[in-house]
Amino acid sequence: MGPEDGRVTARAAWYRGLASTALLGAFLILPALSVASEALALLLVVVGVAAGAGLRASADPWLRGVAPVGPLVAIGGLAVSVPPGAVSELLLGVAVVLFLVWLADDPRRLARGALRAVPTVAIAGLVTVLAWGSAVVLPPTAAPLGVAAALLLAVVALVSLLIARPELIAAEEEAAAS
Amino acid sequence: MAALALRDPVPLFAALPLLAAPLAAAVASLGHSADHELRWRDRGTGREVEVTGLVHPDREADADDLVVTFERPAQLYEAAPPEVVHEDGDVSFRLRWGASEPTVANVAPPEVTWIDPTGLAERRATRTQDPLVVERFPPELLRLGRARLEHTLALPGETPSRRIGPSGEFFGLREASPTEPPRRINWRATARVGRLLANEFEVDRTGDVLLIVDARPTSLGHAIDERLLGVSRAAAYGVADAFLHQKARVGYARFGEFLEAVPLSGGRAQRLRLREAVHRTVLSPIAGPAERCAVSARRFFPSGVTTLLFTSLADETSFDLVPHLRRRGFPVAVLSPSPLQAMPRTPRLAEDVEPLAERLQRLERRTRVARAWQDAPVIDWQDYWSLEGLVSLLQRPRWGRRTGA
Repeated sequence: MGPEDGRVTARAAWYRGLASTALLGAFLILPALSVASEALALLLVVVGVAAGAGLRASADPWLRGVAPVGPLVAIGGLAVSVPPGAVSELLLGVAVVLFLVWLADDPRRLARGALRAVPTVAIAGLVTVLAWGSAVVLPPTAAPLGVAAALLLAVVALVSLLIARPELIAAEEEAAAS
Repeated sequence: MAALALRDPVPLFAALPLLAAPLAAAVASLGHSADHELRWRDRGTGREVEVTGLVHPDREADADDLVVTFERPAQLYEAAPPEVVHEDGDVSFRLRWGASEPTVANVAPPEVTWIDPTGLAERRATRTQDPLVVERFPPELLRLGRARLEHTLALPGETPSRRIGPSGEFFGLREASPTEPPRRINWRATARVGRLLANEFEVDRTGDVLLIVDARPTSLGHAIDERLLGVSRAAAYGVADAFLHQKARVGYARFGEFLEAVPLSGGRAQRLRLREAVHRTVLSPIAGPAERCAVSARRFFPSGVTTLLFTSLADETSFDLVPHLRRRGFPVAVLSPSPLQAMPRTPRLAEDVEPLAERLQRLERRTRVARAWQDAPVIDWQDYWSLEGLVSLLQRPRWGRRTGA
């Protein structure tokens, strides 16, 4: 037996619609870059996103659990069909981050889940942007790549720690004040 | 894997956020908790069970992502889907269930979990809460306290009842009714006040009652036995509650393979002991011999104590209990929940034969009840929501002695 939140206000519906539209929009750009048939890629995106949204609205908990599979299959299909390039890599990363935003807006839970998921999504987005920046800006030799990877891990660990334990910043401020 | 197989870096960029998100969610969940304070109660009456409550999290910021799930006891059915509302930093809920028959059910506290909005990390509450007890009895049990019980104490009159009646210790004065007997009028007080006043007394109550629940398996099958035992448990607890309220002493015994007994006692502590014992009463896999029940009962309880036996009378072994108990000095009355009400209503025979089969079942039941009546008064409990028969039997004066016990 699962919980049923009886309050779905207009504002809640608006937030949820925003997340789904953003996901669909991000996914719809990708077929234009695909080397495969554009119509086929478009079909994959529309079917994947529609299946995900439909299953998430289902009353069956098992079906709700498998709802993310649709968008994931769509994005997997697009990832292998898009040619390598800075723009396509960035777009794909952003699309997956938007998928996380969509995941956070579960219609069975309290609205504005995407806002509450900002720490999680921000870390995932930061990782993507740093990885993409390293790939595009840094010269393709082994040594800078290692430095970039180490920096990436260090920054991600630091940001994660600060998000999880915000009192650490306050403690430092208090120590500085005294 | 796809990136390596295709020698294409693009799938890596798709995988990176997906790989980083669970780690990020796990780290971000460190500052959150599902610990909470739970305030809940049963507001329903009769067959309706309405459990309402409030989950107040220790950290207000965590309320939005608390997911509250409920486990419905098997004895209750769902009348409407649960309502859970997040409001003002709390989570309030309303569960609408129903009881198809009298029951005593423990509702487990709701499972409260803090779940990351993306659903990738979760934290469970570490503090445990007490279950909520849902009790539903036939309403006639409220009148059961007037029943006369056999005294087994050496000094009767030690325990005054809460009931006000025509005899016992003086309690107070009240306005006399037009049909008041003259001996109950307080003539001195009447003369002083100028209108008729009657005496009220606090009824002495030192009677004892022993409740024995037959938890042995029968030929009816596990499902029906379970259901009948559930009804018997509820009735036993309801009867115990009614007598304890009148300050009588109540003992309880469950007989399966062996006898497990709660000795005679009164008060709130005994009510809790009995509630625990009733909840522990489950169907025994092995049926013990009837004589063992009587012999063991005599070790725990004095002879002459008014005894109520809850048994379905579905098997030959059920009939043996009464004579053995009587032989050991227990005046017994049998409350027998009818198995006919507990049987599933799925027709298994042809349409024209089914009514005949039902009639035969009813006749067989009547024969069994009549046979049991030879040893002790039997209440054939057909409507589980009414115990009128039991109440009227127990209110008959000295019924136990008339049965020859």
